Amino acid sequence: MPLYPYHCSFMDNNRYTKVLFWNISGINSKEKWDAISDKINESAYHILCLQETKREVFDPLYPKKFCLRSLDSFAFSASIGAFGGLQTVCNSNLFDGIVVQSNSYAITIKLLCRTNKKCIHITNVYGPSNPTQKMSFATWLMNLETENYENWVLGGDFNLIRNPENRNINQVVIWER
Amino acid sequence: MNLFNELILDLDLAEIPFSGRSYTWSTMQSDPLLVKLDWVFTSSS
Repeated sequence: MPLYPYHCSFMDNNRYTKVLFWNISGINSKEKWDAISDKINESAYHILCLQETKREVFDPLYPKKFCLRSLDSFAFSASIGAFGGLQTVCNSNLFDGIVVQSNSYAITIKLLCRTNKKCIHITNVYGPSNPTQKMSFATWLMNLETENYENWVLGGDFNLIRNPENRNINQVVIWER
Repeated sequence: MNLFNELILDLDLAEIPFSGRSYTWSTMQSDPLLVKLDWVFTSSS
């Protein structure tokens, strides 16, 4: 089970942009909608990147169940059955957004900030948990054409670790028993 | 080197640390397996 939403903020021309990355592990319940809206209320996020929504069909009214009126611009990638699914949401008063890339692994949106006219690219990632698919995900990411991505932020659930320390030792102890 | 780290290096990305948390995923058992699978990166330029 995913444990925490991943908060991230970055400075951009003396203004903070706050992004929330969250593996929501299925979005289809009131409990989840309330958890998301509580989190948005708590920290006034500008951009929300959800992974593993497990939603196959896009409905433009659906994000209103968990978003404030200010978060009103959406990008969606369908789940494959109960696997994956991505939803990116941002505030259209602050950003003029377009989707530049979308598949089952990721959605990338290009956001033009309406006040300072600067661009950022946000990639919302859900990497496969199935070990046999991890290599094709990594290859896809390696070949992603990012030359034109300005101020690129890439985040989400990669289902990959970087170091042995990214895993606790409990499991090793269990294996040794 | 770990393939994921190679990828991050190749894409010239820097990690935005997840403050105060070592892991992002748990098996939720009494003796859980805890793993960090969630990351945020930014282009270094």
